[in-house]
Amino acid sequence: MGRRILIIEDNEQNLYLITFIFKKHGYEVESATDGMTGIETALRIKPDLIVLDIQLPVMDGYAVARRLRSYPSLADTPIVAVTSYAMVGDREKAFESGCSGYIEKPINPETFMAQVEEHFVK
Amino acid sequence: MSGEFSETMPTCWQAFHMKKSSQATCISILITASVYFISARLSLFLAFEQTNASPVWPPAGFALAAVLIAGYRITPGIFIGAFLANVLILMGLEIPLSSSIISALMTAFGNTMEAVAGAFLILRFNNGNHFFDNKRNILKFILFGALLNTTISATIGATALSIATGSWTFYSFIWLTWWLGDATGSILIAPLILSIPDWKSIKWKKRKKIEVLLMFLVLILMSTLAFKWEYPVRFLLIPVLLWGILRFDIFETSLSIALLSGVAIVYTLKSSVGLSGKDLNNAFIFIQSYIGVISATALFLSVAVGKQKRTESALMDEKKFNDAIIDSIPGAFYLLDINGRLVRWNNVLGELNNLTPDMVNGMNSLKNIHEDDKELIATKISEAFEKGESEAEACILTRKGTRYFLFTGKRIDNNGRQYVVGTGIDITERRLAQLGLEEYRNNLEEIVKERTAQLTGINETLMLEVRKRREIEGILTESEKKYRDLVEGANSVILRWSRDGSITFINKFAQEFFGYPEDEILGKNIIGTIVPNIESTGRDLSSLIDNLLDDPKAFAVNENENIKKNGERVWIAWTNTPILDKDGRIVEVLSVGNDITRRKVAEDRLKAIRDELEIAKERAEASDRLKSAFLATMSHELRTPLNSIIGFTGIILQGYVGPLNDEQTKQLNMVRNSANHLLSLINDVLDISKIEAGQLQVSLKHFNLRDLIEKAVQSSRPSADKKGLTLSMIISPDIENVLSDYRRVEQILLNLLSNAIKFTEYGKVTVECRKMDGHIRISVIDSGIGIKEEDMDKLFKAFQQVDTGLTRRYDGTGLGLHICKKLAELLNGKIWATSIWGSGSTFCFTLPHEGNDIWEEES
Repeated sequence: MGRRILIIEDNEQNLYLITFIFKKHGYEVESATDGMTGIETALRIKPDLIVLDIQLPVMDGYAVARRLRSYPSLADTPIVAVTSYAMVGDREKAFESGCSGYIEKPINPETFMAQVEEHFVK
Repeated sequence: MSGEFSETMPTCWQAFHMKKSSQATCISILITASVYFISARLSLFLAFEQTNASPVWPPAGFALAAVLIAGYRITPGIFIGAFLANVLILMGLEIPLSSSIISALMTAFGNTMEAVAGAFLILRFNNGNHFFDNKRNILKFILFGALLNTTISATIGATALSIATGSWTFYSFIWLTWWLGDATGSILIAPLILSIPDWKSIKWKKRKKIEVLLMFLVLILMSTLAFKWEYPVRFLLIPVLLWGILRFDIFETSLSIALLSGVAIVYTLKSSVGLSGKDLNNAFIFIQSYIGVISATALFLSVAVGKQKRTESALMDEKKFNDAIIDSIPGAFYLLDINGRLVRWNNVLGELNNLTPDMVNGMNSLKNIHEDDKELIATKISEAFEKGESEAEACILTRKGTRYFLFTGKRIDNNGRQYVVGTGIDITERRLAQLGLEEYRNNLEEIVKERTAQLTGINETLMLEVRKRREIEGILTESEKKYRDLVEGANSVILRWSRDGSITFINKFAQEFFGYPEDEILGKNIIGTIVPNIESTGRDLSSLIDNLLDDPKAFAVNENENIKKNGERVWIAWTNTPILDKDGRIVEVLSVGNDITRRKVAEDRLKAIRDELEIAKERAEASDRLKSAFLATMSHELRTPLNSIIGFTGIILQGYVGPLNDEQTKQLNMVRNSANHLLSLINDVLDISKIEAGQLQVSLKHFNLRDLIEKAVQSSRPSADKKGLTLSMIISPDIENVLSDYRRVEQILLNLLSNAIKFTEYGKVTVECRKMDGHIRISVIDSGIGIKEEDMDKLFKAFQQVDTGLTRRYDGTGLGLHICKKLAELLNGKIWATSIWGSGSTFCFTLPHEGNDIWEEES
């Protein structure tokens, strides 16, 4: 496929896990461990999809999503939020901040890829 | 010198007022003396040479006039002047000086006395009028002023002269000539001087002035003719004199005779130069007599004529005045003779019919009287003549139409002739008014009748009113009594207080409530008795009265603290009603109050409780927030490691990291299963925590229920297949979209399915879904081991696991059904189970129809 994915995730293991899965499925993966870096990278590489962890330090995922969406070049880029989906309104917030979709943690390694690929080119 | 004379013919002496000072007197004496002396000297020119006597002695006239004008004060002047004049004359004769002086003194004395006596007598016998005013007076003047008084002078003078000359032969002659000389002098000169007119007030026309001059000229001419050339025309002098007398006044007459005399004397003098003896005497006496008689007569006539003229003039004025009066009478004035003809009338009468005086004169007075009234008037006129007085009302035809007149008549006698004099007044208006009045009077009876009827009616109405009023009064009294009873019997505090706060009324209840007997509290101010100055809450009540009076509406209902006599504080809800006077000012306030102390206490307590609750609520909310944060954190923290465990084991098991042998696969599977189990445990715990904390919210969205059921069944098929169970679903065809939380519905269904499969060894599990009345029922029916009756209660309780006898306890958390129940309730549905021990169980849960969240209890 040759598509590039940007993963913004601060947890090492999670990042490793998701990156592994994507790579195994033939995607190029770039990563960032915090919001600001993530945004910079996104602007630089213009990925085909962004996986965004909501529970980020300093600048939480919603803010990152909003920021990403504010750039015209990233307006159409699918952003998939990965969230623990714990609290009331998490889902709404994700969509409101501009995410195209969300996946719950802990991820199901068997279905993860399929879930993500849903959001390509809609 | 006053009286009528001066009014008609003012002389210049009116303006003459001699000051009564001695200085003025001296001056006037000097003047008098000088004039006398000068006139005496001049008179000598008229003297006959032979005798040195003048036929006319003007100084005598001058002296008389002087005294009459200036008063007795100037007599010394006469004396001085006379003395000096005589002394000079005597000195011309051959007489010793002493004799001359004595003689002169005597003569002077005589002259003075003559003047004084003359003036005295004239004034004494004057009857108030001027000496020239009437015939009587002028005769007196001539008598006293020219004839009698001069005898004194003549006597003394002749005597003096005889003494001086020593010759008494000619005494009688001397006396006579002296007397005549002084007499004529007086007659000629005195009137002349006394009648000198006030030149300023002469109003003669030019013609008259010319006439008078002409007259003088003719006179002089005629005199000259008569005396100089001795034409026999002396008689003609009389007509000329008459001309002057008739046309002019006394002054002109006096002047005429003076001039005439002058001419006569001068020429007689000349013609008698050669005469002597008896002829001379005769000539002398003749001229004196002539002058004297002519003068006296002329004077007399002048006065008479003057008087006549004045009388006529006065009469004329009188007539004019009378006419004016008569004309000014507002009515028509008329004077009728015995035949009823108009003799005199005023212009009002004439104007009635635009009659000229000629037309009126002698006109029959009945002429313009209305036909119907002619007889009446005629009768009345006769009545007036007979009885002396009469009056009548009649119509008269005037140029303005027929007018109604009141005619009066009164008989007067004038010189034996009878007349009727009267006035006629236009009373047309009055008559009309009178007629109107009569008509009105006639109508009056009608009006009176009407009015009486009205009044009777009003009276009746009034009686009714009175009766009604009495009734109302009765009702009022009763009402008042009721009111009083009400007020007294009421269970509320009722009191009235005036503007200044003093209590004017307090009902029984209030008296007992507050503890004040009536006599103790009436008249006292509400503040200080039942109203404390400061409330327990701290509010200041001392200005309560003012505030209330300012804005009664705001205090119509008011709660404030009050105080009883014993000091006990109470709270009262007042209704304050202002009582207004007729001008709208507040006179009193009626306050009705109810004791709300208990309520107030309760309110306070309630408030305290509310405050407490508020605090508790805040605390609970804080605690909730805390819990919420805790849950969020726990959720995240617990899940994160599982992500790695499940994830990596999954990857490895999928072969992405390399091939696996069977034992590795078996063991990794065991790890994964445990991880999954742990995850479900964590999810359950978190769910139940959320539910208990009220943090779980459902998000209602439309979704396809059929799809959900199919999906759930599909994901449960593997485990069903493994146990050889038949898994089927029966979904009613009318099941389509529902409004609910997809995730939670799925959760419930999956849980029920999982249980059904778990507790069924053989047979089938069926999912049914159909629409019921008001809700959708989803049922999971199994043919499993069933549930004992006594365990049914425990089913949906937390942490309760039914002992199934199976050893697969590890599969449950004890929370599953509890969570299902909570979730079902959150979705506005219900969940229950039915079972037969050993046969199977049916678990049902419901979802309400869209918009229908009124759940009906199903037994």
